[in-house]
Amino acid sequence: MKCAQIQRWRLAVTTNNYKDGQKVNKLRKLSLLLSVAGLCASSNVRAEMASGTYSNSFQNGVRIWDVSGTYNGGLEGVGLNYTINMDNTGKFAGHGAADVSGFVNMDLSFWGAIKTVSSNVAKMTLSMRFKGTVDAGGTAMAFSGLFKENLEVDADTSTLVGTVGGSVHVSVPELHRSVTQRIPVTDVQTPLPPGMTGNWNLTLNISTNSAHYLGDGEVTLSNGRMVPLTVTGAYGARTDASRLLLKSTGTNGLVNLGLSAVVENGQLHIQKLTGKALGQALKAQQP
Amino acid sequence: MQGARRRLWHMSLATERAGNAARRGRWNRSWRLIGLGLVVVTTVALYKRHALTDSITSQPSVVETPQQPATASTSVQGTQSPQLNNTSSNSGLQPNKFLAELLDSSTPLKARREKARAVARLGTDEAMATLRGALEQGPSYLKAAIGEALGESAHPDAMALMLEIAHGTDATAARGAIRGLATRGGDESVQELAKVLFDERIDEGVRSEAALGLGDVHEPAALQSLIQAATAWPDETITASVLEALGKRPFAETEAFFQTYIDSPLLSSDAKVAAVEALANASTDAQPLLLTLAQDSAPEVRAAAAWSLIGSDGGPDFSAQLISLLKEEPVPAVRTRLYQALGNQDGMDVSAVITLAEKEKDPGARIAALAVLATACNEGSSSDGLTFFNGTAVPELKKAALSDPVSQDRLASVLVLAQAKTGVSTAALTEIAQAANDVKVVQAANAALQRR
Repeated sequence: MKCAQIQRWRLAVTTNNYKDGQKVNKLRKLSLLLSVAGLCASSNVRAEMASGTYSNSFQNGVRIWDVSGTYNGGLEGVGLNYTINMDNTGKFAGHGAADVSGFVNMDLSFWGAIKTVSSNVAKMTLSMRFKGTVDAGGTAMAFSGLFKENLEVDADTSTLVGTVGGSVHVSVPELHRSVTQRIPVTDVQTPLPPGMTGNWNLTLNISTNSAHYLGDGEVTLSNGRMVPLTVTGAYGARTDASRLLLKSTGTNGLVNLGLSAVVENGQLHIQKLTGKALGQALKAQQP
Repeated sequence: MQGARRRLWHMSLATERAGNAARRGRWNRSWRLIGLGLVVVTTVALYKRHALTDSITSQPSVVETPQQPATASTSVQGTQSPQLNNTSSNSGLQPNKFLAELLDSSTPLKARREKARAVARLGTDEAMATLRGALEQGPSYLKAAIGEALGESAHPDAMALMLEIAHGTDATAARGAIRGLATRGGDESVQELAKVLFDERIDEGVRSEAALGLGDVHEPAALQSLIQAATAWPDETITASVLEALGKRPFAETEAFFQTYIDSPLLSSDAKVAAVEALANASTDAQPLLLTLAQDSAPEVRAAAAWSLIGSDGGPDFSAQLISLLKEEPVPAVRTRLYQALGNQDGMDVSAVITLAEKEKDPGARIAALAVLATACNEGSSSDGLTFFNGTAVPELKKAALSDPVSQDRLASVLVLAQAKTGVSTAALTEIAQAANDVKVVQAANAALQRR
């Protein structure tokens, strides 16, 4: 009895195996057909090679900051007045004026830079040195000082937030007397120049030469600063993606960016962006 | 005879007393003057402390957007809500009142950050309760200020709270707490900072801040961690912060590292430039190395060295070396940096700069050369410089300010005219302010005219 049961079970298994084998073969055929159909279908939605003009806006993501502008601080006639002209590497150096209630007018020299310390944090350092003399009852008194501001760009409020510290030196050369006073670290908050939000636009005019790209374009910052670019690159048939190298041409800003993108329906979908623009490291990748 | 001697002695005594009085007078006068100076200095400090909510020309003051009350994303999750009462404590702090003030979004953030710092420095239980309340509900940059100020708090829980913020989910607040740890210093802080620096799961901005913090802590372990990081990651974004931190430390400690690092043949150009620029934070002891690097074979290294020399102060004047370098430098971008460094030197040979400026053909480098001469004109150190500037530079700069196609060059031209402060340059600025189409140029010209 037991033996008959085993034989029936074996038969069932064999039959099932046979049936399964048929199913597997059918499935294999079906999957082959589907994959061919898929290939045909996917060729319909394949990315294109880039050709023409493309515009991409970078809003609230990867930001580029330009701190150029005129800065005033004032209270009851006391003021620091300076204009920053950020160069193509994100650095700036210049001269301004500092006066204390009209009592002391001092020349202010400053220098600094803005740079990114991570993909979402931009920092600015601003060093200020001032010096001047005042005639106090026929005796010349010399002032000099060095302040250093360590600031972060708060993208939400478009302000520079941080601290300032330093020291001030006063001397009376005629009397061989001098004193140095350390300025304790205190808070600073400075609005960025009007229109500076960190957002920027990328415009590319691309033409093809076989699988290679050539072209030009521009990066336009939110304050209107425009950096002309040259574009080179290639289309990778295997990856179905376009790789582009963007380099600045003029003296209005140093840009060196690499990006990989997929072109679909006339749109350039940027998947990865890395490089530097105006001294700031940019890094973005589509998840 | 004795009477005569006595009279003579009295006379000499009187003369000596008169001399002493005169010396005392000079002494008092000198300290009065220095006191006067300090008043000015303090005014400047107070100005910086209370009035430097710098406003950009024609921009309204900043009032921060109110922040939502505490959410899961706040950095002090799990912190118990402080049991505050409104009674005055021994420290005189009224916690509820202060908490309300810290969270009042109609008050500028700067004022609230200052208040938070003041509260943190008190180091009392009430102060800590107030800060915990602000950490639950305040905006990120307020939390950052609290984290930073806790570094100065003597309260026994200050360290634990800083660590809580540093490892929280609000990266802005965490960076503040990291700065607080650096302010606090000591072995424990160094260990925590190093832990953050080397933990690759932590936000890169926070790790960068930890690196910078280690640069401020004068413990040998901090130096070791930084050197280890710089060696381990020669080419990452965070490396620049590590190098900057090393640059902040006493140059005697780091000189050997920097020399070896910069000479490394495998180092990328970016890392080398970052290392050289980090020396801008070093003391004047780094000047000889920077002057040597200003002759490096790589132009980007030469430019970086010149940039780092801009801030060199207090050491011997090296304008002669800079002028020699300028005479030999073939790359305009490097010459621009050398001119910028020269502009901050007091003892430059103006006639040599005129010769260099006359030969300068590159637009950017030429503007930088004219800026050096503008400084000389401002200081009244050379009549030749004044003649050249008024006769040659002013018309050229005026034209550039009004019609140069590159906006940065237009602005740079105005700034050079502003720096010179000669009658001719003032007249040019007046014309530019009236005729320019570029808003930034007009603003800069008007600002320059106002400070004359």
